[in-house]
Amino acid sequence: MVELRGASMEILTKLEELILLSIWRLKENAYGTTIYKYIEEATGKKLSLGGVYFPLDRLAKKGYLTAYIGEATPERKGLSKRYYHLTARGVQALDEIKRVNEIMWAGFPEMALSFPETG
Amino acid sequence: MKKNYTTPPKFGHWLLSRIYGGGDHFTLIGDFGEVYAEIANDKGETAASLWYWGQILKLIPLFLSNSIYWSVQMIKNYLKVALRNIRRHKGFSFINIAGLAIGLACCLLITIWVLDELSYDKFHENAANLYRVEEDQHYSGRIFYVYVTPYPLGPALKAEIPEIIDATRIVWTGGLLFKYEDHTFFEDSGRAVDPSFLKMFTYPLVKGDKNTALDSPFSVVLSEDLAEKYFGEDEPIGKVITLNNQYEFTVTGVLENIPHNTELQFDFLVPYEILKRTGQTQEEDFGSNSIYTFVQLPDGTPPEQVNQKIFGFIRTKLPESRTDLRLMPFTKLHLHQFFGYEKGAGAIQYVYIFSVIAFIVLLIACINFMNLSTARSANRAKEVGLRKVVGAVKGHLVRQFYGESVVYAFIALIFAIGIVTLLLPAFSNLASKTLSWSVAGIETILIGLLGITLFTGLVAGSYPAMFLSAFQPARVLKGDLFSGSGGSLFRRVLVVVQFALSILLIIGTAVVYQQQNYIKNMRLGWDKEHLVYIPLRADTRKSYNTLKQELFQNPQVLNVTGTSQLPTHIGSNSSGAQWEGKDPEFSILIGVNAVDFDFAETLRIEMVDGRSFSKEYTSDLSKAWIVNEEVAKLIDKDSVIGERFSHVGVDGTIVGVMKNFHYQTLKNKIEPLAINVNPNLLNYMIVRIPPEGVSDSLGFIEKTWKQVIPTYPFEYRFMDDRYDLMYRNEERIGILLRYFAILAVFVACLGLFGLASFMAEKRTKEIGIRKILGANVTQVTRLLCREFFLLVFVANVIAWPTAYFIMRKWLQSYAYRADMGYFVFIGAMLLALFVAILSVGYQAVRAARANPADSLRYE
Repeated sequence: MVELRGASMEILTKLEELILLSIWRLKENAYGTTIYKYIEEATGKKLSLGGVYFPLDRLAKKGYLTAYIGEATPERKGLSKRYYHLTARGVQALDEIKRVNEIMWAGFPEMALSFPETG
Repeated sequence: MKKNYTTPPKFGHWLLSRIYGGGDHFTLIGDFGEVYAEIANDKGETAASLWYWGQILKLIPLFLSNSIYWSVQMIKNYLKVALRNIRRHKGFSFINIAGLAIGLACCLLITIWVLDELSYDKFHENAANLYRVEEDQHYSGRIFYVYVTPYPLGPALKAEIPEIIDATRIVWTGGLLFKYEDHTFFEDSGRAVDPSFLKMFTYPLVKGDKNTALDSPFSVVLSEDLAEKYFGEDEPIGKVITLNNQYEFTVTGVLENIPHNTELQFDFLVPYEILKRTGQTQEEDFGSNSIYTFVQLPDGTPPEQVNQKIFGFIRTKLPESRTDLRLMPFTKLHLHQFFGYEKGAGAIQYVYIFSVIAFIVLLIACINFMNLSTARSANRAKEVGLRKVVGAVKGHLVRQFYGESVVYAFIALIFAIGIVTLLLPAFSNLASKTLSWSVAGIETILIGLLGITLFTGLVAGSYPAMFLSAFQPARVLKGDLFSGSGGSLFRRVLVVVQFALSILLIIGTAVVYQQQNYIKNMRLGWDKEHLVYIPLRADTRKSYNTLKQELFQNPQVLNVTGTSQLPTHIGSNSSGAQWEGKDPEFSILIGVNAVDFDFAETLRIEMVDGRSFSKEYTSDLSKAWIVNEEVAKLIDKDSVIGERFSHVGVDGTIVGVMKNFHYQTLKNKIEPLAINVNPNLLNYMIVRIPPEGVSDSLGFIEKTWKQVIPTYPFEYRFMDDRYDLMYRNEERIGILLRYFAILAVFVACLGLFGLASFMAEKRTKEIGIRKILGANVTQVTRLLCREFFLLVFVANVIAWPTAYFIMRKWLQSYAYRADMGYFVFIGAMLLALFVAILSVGYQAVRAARANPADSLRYE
């Protein structure tokens, strides 16, 4: 049996999880717009741009992320970007999620996902 | 031409920065701008704008849930700390919560009472459009307020004033003998009304049709209770009841029982028409004042407009009349009616008094909380310091301490609701009405409870929040636990305020009690003890003389007389009195009462001049007057005996002058009064019995009654009961006042007790050192008590003049008032000192007796 480490770790919401993952993927280019677009592309669902900010703040406050103010571009009318980075705790949280998911999904056959049509 | 970099809407831009309040909100706006520009380039600016606004709308719920998320996080923390504190300091928490709970409970009880008082007659659908017609009568420069009106006024107003869309007359029927099969009872509380009554007022019928129920002159409408009394489970409609052994009335309707919160209390209704047919009304007379007239105006008609039209209405019928008419809103009768027997000055006075008391008790409880929380601030200083070090700003701490006091208030509320629920039956009993939580709708109650609790929490927490959040972290964390003097001056002020309020209530209660006692025991000028009175209803009056003679046979009856009005309630008066030498311009209302021989003797009214009525003079039966000293003063001659005096159509001579006696409530002064003998107008028989053997006397009277008048049941009452009834309402209020004053003092003591125990604890070391240096227990106790006594003393100095002025004002509403003796004030001070000794003394003695070895070792 795999030991569940870090019992103190909070259970994150799916959106928080997606945000952490997209920041990890976007590496140096993770700021509001890119995170928003990335999640929209990956999930194929219309998101609210503002909707990513509150989770971002919350994750930052809880210590999963750090933020720093970056450069401005003309199309932003001189308003800076705020870039996000995963902290060690953030990386650890992703690791944790992956492990938990693997435990939870282990042995779940692919085909069971598509129900045979009855009738 | 499209611009390369489009700008998003300005207003949206601004809105975004408001909603997203983070310090870095410009980055978010930048991100929005970036996407906006992209969409604008692809699909045009309209699409981009749409997207932009859509995004802002979507942001709002997110913003709300986010802000709730963080407040919940903080509230959770505050709650945790508050509960920990409550648990760790059980004694203080108990005192705080008990004080607040009692304060809130008082407040809730009083609020329920006040709401009930305010609800009177608001339930009528037409409540806002119903008015009573009242009169101002002018005589010799004085205005007399009269609320009974001429018989024909109602229909005349309805016919001639277009704004008066409906009118009804209301006449008290007097006691009527109801007979149905073998059920025979006197029913006292009936009204004769016009058929429109049931349409104007909302007294719903459970059976029958309100539009036709009173159309036939021989119809009667009963309350549910009364219908059950006579017919039990049977269908009441259509049953025939015999009234006064004479008329047959058919039951045409059953009323829902009349709620207690209406001024018109009755058990049955008969049509006004029946009074007319039996000749009990004066249909042409616009000069008499005998019955109530109520009118209904159309929706939204201001009464002032109608007042102008009806002001001189009586003079259009009776040119020499001195009567002006005006409308009094029906819903105001209960609280603002300043006249009328048994009513005292309008109940609104008590609504104000009790509201103030509720506020005072709550304030005292809040002061307890402030005092104890700041006194114990040393315990919280480190927490405040630490919170500040890790980044809390003053605002956070203020919010935390407010939050904490609100938590206390809500815990107290739970207890208060319990207390109120337990006490409501007893309280209803005291207030003599059925009070319950249902005085208002559930939403109102919940909002009210929430509001009052938040208010309490915020008031109680206001000073502690400011005081505690101001600590300097550097100092408190270094252990420099301040001298504690910062808050102590304010604390002293609060204790003084608290005690001044308590003393105010004590003095107020004492003065009210004194005044009530004074009135109860005042010399009335006649002897109300050991008098029995028997109503003479319907045709029993005819047997009065036989009955009187029979009663005189027995030594258990000392004297017998008859009267048309009880000597506690002589209300009839008239302005037409004439005597020789009277200024023809002078006009005054003189009270009048028809009596039987032996009136003065039976009541033991002293004669100051002349003689009492006597059968030896045949002229006494129709031509003799006895007047009181006030009338004698008006006539203003050396002796008025033998003077001609004509009043209410009786032209006679004055044969005697009786000493002034009180014949109304003692709120009123003794006015001129004249009595004459008229056996046809007697409504009551009054019998004086010896103090011993009361039940024998009553037995004899009853036996005699049954011999002489077998067809009517025997009823009697004691005169002193009737007298006490006049002041019952005030007495009840006095009792309530006493209870609330006791509670207020108790809550104040609770706070003093807590404060004293804290002081003793803080000075443990000092006491130890003093004792080692030779101080004895008495000296130390005195040291600890001295400050509190000083404060209570100062409170007295403030409370005395305040109480004096307030109570003097109150006493002025009485024509006869008790002295506010200085002993009331001294007594209040001694009482306050006494309770202060009780609450402080125990703590002081305990601290003083502690072994110094223990206290000095406590580090």
